[in-house]
Amino acid sequence: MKLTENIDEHRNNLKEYFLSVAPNTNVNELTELVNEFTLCKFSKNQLVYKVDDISDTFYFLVKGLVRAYYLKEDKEITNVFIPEKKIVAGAYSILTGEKNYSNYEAFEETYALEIKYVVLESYYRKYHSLERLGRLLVQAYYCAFMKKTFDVLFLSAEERYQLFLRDNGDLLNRVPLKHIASYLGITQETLSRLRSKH
Amino acid sequence: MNKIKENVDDYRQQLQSYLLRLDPSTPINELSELVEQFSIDKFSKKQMILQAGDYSDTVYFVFDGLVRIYYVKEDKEITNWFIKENMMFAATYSILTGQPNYSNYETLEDTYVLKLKYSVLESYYEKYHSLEHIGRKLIEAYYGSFMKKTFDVLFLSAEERYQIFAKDNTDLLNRVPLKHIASYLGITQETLSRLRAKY
Repeated sequence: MKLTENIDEHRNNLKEYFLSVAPNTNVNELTELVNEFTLCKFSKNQLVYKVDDISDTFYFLVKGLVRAYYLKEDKEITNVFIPEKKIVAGAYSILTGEKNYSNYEAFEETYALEIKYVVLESYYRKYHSLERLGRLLVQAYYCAFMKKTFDVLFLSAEERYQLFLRDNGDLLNRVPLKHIASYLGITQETLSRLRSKH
Repeated sequence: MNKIKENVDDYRQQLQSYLLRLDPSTPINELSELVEQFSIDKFSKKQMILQAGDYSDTVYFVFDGLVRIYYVKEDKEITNWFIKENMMFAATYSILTGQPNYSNYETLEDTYVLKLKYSVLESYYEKYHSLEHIGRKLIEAYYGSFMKKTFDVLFLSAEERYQIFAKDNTDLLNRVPLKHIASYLGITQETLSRLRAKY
C-alpha cells in the first residue's frame, strides 16, 4: 500500500497542523512527538469509536472522512464531519471520564495517524511547549463546539447552510444529503430548496 | 468592601486550593506567584457584569455570591449556568476568539470576585510548565462540562436532569428564582414545581 510508504509525509502534515494551532512549538520536541504516531486503517463504515466507548486513542486523518453521529429516537443525528488533516479525539469521553455519546464512523476508506492518549500525555509532561500545544488544541476545539452550539441557536437554516457551504463545500459531493440535513438541523426538503437557491 | 479587602489573602488561598485540585503536584511557590496577581472586585445584586455582544479579556473567581449566565432567544432568557462560590467564570468564547460574546453575565446576589486579565494569566502559563498544565486542565474541565450540559439536555429526561441538578446544587433551589432554574433545565416552571413536590 502506497500510503504506508508515505508515513514521513503524513507526519509532516501532522506537524504542520500542530504548528498552525500553536506556532511557537519547539520543532525538535514536536518532531519527537509526531514520530510516535503510527499509521492505521479503517474500512468504509467501520466505527473508529462506538457509543459507550471510553476514548484511549487520538487520531489525525491522513485520507478519508469520519462522521460522528448520535441516535435520538431511532434517528441518526450527525454532530460533525471530520475530513483529512483534522483530528478525531473522542473528546467527550477523554474530558469527562464518561462513555462517549456518539459513534464515529469511517465514511470512506480512511487512513489515520494514531497515538495512545497516555503516550500523548507523557509528552505534554515532558516538554512545556507540547503541553502548551495540548492546551491550544483543546481551546480551538472548545471554541468550535461553542460556535456550532450557538449557530444552531441563533442562525437561520439558510445562514447555517451558507456557513457550511463556505467551510465544507467539497462535502456536498462526498456525503448523502440526509446526513448534511441532520447536521444542519433541517429537513432534507429544506436542504434541497436551499441548494437550488444558492 | 473594606473588611473584604483585609481578607484578600484568605480569598487568594481559596483560589489556590481550587487550582491545586486540578493538579495536587503543582509547586506551591509557582501557584502562589500566580494567585498573588489576582485583585478583588465587587458587583452589586442584579448588576450586569458583561452583556451579549461585549468583548472581554478578564477571568473571574467567585469567592462570595452568585452569577447567572444566560442568553436571550425570542425575547426569552435562557439560563446556561449558575456560578457560585469557588467557581471560575470567563467570557471564554470572546477571550479565545476575539469575537463578541454570546451570553449575558448578571449577578443574582452581591458578588465578590478575584479577577485577572487573561493576558497576565497566559504569561504565567508561559513562565512555568506547571501552570501551563493547570491551564490545560482548567480549559479541559470547562469544555467537558459544556459538552456534558449539551448532551444531558439531549439524552436525559426532565426528571433525570432535575435530580442531577438538585443533587449538586441543593442550595441554589433556595437562592435562585424558579424561572431561572426551569430555563436552565429546559423545562417549564409547572414541570419544575411538579418535580420539586415529588422529591
